[in-house]
Amino acid sequence: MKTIYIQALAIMMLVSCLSCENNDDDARIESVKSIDGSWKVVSAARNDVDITEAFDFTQFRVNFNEDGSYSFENYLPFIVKQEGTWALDDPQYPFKINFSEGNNAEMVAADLTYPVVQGRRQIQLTFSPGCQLNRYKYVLERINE
Amino acid sequence: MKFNTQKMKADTILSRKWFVGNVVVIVLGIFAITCVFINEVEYAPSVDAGQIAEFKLTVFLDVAEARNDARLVVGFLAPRSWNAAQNITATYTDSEESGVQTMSIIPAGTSPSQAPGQSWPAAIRGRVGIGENVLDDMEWITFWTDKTYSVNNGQDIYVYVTIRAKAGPENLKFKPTFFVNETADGMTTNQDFYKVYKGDCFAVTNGTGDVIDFCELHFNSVQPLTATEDDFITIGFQGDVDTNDLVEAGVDKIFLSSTAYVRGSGRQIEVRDNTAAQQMKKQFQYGNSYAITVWPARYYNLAEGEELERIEYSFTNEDGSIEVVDEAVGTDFVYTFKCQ
Repeated sequence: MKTIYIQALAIMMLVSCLSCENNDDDARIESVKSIDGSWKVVSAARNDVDITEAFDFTQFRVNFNEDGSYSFENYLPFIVKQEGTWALDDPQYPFKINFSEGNNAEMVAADLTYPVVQGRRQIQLTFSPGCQLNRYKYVLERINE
Repeated sequence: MKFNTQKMKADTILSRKWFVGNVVVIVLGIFAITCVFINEVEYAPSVDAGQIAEFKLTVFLDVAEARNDARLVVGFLAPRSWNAAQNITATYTDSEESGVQTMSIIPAGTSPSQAPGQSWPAAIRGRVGIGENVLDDMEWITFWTDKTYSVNNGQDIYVYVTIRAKAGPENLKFKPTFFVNETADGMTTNQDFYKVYKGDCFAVTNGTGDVIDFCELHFNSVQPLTATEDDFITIGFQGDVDTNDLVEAGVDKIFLSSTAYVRGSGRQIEVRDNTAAQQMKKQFQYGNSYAITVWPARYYNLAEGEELERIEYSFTNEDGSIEVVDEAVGTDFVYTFKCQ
């Protein structure tokens, strides 16, 4: 009786091994991050101190267009001053966003994170528009997402 | 009946054993910790601008539970204008080894074990804030030992940390604040595992500009201390610091009245008409603390390429008939734009 159990167990193990498949084909590929659209500031911090309510950020917009250009509405201190082109350092795993103002080939980079907070995609940008000793963090949300 | 009595006795004995056993475990648990202490902090009361200031900490570690691969963490709160990452270093000696050992700034992106997702400076700031300083233009710089240590139960370790900081160029006063922890218990909420030391006021003298006082409140404040016209600057009026005409008159609409000076050209831009854009926001429901945050380039309507040298400012009521100025000199307060 004991021998039968051992044999059955061995067969089951063999079958389970044979049934293993290489699932690499199903491995998920990280999606390309899209930031196209118009974004507004929902939170702003200066040197880790929240200044969202201290200043009116509500009218500022940054528009990332599908053709790789960007523009502003009601400009406020930002990574760049003039309109131009943008690109992510890595479309799937972006950690920086690069801007080129006007026809200038020189790129200006800012740290970027791309979390989903309460079901809404956000962009968090860290940069120094004035004195380099001051670090600002804008949290942006897409309008009409 | 006899059986029941025996069972009750057995239960009582078991219960007593359980009780004693658990008490022992709890007592051991209470003592089975690695307590961290800051026994002493020494520093001179002042330093000349641009010179090196030394802050010496005596840290005591009472190891009651073995730790492997741990690093000692020391945080130091300094004015942001000191550019701490460039100008502050830390070393130590300890009772377990000979020679001076090195410490490094904790790399960005490193989180304390008990505060995932946060940097060490952010986690310390969240817990300790800016100590007893009154201007929030300071930063925590965090060092850890370059070596990792495995310590044993019962070890008593003294660590003598020396922080060397090159003072910034401007005259100021602040209260140095220190934080000590170790990585194995990184930012745990148990106060046995970390310590904070809030020091007395320390002065930088023989530098540039009026003294910026982080130690005590004054009628005026401006943050950040280093800025250009493309930063946001926050100008505050602390009306409860001392008697003043605005508060005594019961004024509850307070305006920033200012003149900006353009670098190079000397062009003066007056913004003293007390419109809504110049009204300061009351900071709390009670008291007389007001502030306004502006983007100077727009606030003073600068032309492309113009830079600001300074602003002179006072606080007024709506019609400008009541004004608070720098009582020490009887004229406007001054804020100088600088960025080292």
